[in-house]
Amino acid sequence: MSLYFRQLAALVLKDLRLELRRRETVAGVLVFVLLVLVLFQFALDLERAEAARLTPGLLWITLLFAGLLALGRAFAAEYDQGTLDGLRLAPVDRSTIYLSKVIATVLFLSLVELVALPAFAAALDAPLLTPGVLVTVFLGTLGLAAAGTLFAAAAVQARARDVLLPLLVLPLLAPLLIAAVHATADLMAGAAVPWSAPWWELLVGLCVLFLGAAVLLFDALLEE
Amino acid sequence: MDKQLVLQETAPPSVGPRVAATQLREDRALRLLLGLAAIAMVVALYAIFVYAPTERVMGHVQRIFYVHVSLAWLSYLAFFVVFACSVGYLWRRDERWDAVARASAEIGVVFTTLFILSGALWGRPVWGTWWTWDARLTTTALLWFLYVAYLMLRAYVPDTARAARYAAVLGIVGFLDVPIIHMSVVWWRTLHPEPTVARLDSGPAAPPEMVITLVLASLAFGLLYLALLIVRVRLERLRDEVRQLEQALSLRGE
Amino acid sequence: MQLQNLPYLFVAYTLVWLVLFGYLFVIAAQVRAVRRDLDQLRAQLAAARPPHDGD
Repeated sequence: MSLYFRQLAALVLKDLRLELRRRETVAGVLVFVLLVLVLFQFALDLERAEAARLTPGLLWITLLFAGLLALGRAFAAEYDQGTLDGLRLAPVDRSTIYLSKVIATVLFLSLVELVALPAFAAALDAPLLTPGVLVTVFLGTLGLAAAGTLFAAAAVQARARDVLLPLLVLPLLAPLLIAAVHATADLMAGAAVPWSAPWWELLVGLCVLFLGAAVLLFDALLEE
Repeated sequence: MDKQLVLQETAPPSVGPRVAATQLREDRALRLLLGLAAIAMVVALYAIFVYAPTERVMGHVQRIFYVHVSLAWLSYLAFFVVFACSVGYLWRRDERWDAVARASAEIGVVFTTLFILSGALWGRPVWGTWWTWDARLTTTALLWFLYVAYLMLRAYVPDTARAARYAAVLGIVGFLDVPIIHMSVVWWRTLHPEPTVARLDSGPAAPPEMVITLVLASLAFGLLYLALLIVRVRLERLRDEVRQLEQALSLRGE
Repeated sequence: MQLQNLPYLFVAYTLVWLVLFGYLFVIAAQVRAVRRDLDQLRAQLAAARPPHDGD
């Protein structure tokens, strides 16, 4: 068991170190998120009352597309440099590779959200910095990373991978969007931390579904 | 050697007796199935247009409902077949599983598209809009996207064995996601109910004639689905044979 | 109201039937075409085989 975790940690650290060196993913995605926030203002001309109603939706659409951007890069480096074979040959359980990518993606996106959430909260005057919303954002990010990493491994080896990945992942994540938006809206409206709320259960269920299925199926995606 | 080939080409090639017999059996079975499907279709059409009562509020246009709901059921059945064959393929790695999965996905997307279009043609006269975001339509729209994602994944991955594996993963995860999609959409709808009455079922207690008609229509489309599936799988199998023979020929320096 | 919506009914049913049977027809035609190709290939293979016995 501890070997598994050590291998997992090693793989995660590898991705973190690469990102620290190049700083492409987090910085790029963060700027994207802030840009979208500005564009929303231009496009929708939001007034105070409307902004409150639309904020959960705007936030989550932005996070979804930002996540897809980050996921597009998850395996890109390995595939383009031919080190995917190195991963295949590594004496680790294939699920370790998958989980390490999920963890790395969640970490990167969390760094982005660290700045994005306050920005959204300020720009849209929305109470987004509550523990409830933070947990919701985490669960949503986890679900997004879980489903996205699985199919990023497939998309990276296909043609038009940037177009294909959203097509594969977004239909699967529709329930995640619905749940995250409604949970955020409820929390913004002042609901107590909804541990037993159906939306959180749905988010957790989705994470379990994607993580569980991926651990079982990832092997098939990484085969020669 | 060249002289022999020239001689062969002038006379029409005769198919080996074993192959011809198999083809004949397959064709007969398929023709039987198609015959059954045709009969079922005629019976269903009679039920839809003559036997089923005219709905009080919507009138004759409501008869689209029988086709619309049947197509929905079959869309879900086809996706289940994609799921089951995806599991089978990943488990057994036999290409036949994959062929059925792919065929079912193609047919499924056709059925789903027709479901959506028939819904629009029903919605427009009855509720004034081409589209309503009611639970069933929305869920099935997402199913459409899952089908398309499956087919695009296959199209964009050049290596066919790899494409089959990737598509199988999507088929499995997608199908497992469908109940969750359905749940979330239903909850969403209860929170934001449609302003227009979006009940696609025929009111509180559907008269038994309508239920029977619906069952008959579904059976007819089900048989058609089966026939389409068989023919499509056959096409895939034959194409594989062609590829194999082409390879064998190129190995002999044709 | 009841009768004037009949065009929608007509279009819906026609569309469904045309598409489904059209699809069936197209695949069946493709099967026939591929079978012809297959027969040709088989003949070619049979012709090529005798001189190269014992590959």
